[in-house]
Amino acid sequence: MGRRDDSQYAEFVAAYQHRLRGSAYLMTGDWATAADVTQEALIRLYVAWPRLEKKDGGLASYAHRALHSAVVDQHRKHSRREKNEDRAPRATSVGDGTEEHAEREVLVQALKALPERQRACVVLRYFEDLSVADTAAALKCSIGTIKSQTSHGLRALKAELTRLGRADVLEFGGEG
Amino acid sequence: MKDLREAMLDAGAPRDDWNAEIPTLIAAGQKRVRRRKLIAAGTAAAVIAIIGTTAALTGIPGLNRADPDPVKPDKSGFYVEERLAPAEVERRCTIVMNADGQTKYTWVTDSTETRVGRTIAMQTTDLTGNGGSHAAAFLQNCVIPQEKMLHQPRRAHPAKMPLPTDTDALTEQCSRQASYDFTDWTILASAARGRPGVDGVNVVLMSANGYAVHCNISPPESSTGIRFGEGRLHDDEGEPILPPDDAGPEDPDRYVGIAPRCYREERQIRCLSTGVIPGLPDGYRIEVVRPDGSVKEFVTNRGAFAIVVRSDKESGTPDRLDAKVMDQDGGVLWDSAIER
Repeated sequence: MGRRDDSQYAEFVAAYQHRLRGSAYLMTGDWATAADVTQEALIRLYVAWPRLEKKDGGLASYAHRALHSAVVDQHRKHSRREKNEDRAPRATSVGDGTEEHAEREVLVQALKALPERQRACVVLRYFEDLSVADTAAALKCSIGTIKSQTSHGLRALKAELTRLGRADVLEFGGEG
Repeated sequence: MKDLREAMLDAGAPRDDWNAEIPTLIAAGQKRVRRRKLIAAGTAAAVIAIIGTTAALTGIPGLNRADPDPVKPDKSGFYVEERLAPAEVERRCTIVMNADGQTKYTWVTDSTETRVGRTIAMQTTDLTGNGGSHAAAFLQNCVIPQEKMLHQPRRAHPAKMPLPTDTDALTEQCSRQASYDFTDWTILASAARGRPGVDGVNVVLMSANGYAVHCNISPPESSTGIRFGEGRLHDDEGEPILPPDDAGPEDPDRYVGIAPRCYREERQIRCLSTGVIPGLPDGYRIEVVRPDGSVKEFVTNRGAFAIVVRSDKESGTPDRLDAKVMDQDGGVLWDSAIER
């Protein structure tokens, strides 16, 4: 077990926070929520810091795991508060009116329709660009589970985009 | 049309100047470490008990550092440590072990444990009397009985297993199994391991001076039988033994035993965990994630919990379920998914 080194921690946070927040946004669909869960994950990282393996991606792997756990916690709290809310799909927000913005929005909305673990697999594999093995380490499950969850997730994502009438925005290849 | 990777990078790229305030993160992390230290301070003994014992007396530091109180030996519901002379240990265990009148056992004399409620090994007097391997075939544990429990049959099972709510029946059965009278102790947690009234029950009892005992009552036909008192919970000074490699209050190993351990029984998966987290305020919760991903919540009672999770899923049996210890506000004190 190593000693606590706040300067090393600060360096890691400075270098990694935006990537984590991007992942969190794709998992939650909301930038403010993404900031909250990113901070929560970084606090958990601080608590665990002395015993983490600092080489070979150990820190990043733990950060992803903590982020996913924080997202799940946040989702659970949110679900409790709003479990009676109408869950009908909302219309896609056009935002600033540009087509690119609309494409981003529709992708995030489609991701939100995926089951939690499938969404995490898709985000870690395609946004974080983690290998199957690294994704399995981050989510603490088997390589087989990651492969099947990613495959199901990509199929579900394609189906949701089709349902939203925007199957044209993405080109799927590989596992999907 | 973009490919998925490109689209994800674009969608996940921040478009504002948000930055985490690192000093704030560090301050929050330090506060959480301090809080964990406070809660972890009295946890080691209970976790050892969770891992290694099915029923044994467990001292709980933090609640009872000054106990047992020698001026209250006869007070009802109080646990008082009672050390016996070796000859008395052998006398009592010989009575208990030879109760069936068939097998003769003697004390394995390298055992140094002489406290009532603790386990010693007994062996048959004739180690050549059976054709099998003698190490496994002839050694048997004896929980050193209280004098008053000497002639209470340990295996006198009721016709029906007690319900988890039947405190009198649970107390009686646990007393028989541990050869220790738990009358006037408080049952803090109990849970049926399967069908209530048919399958076994896990129980946590606490004495008036804060000692805890876990008791697993099993039906007579259970293949696992009744075993208890296994594992050493204290060193020779009565202090709790810390887990191996324990490196201090932050060591998450203190909590590891909380995550329910699973096994498959016919078509059902059962995941169990019973114990006490000393010093945990009432209302704190343990959340367990079932094999199908749903969550079951257990509210602790003076830190005690009895978790039983069953699943009919045909999927593979996990070694353990993920569990979290949470405060009243939902703050996570410990999370097996990220701590192990």
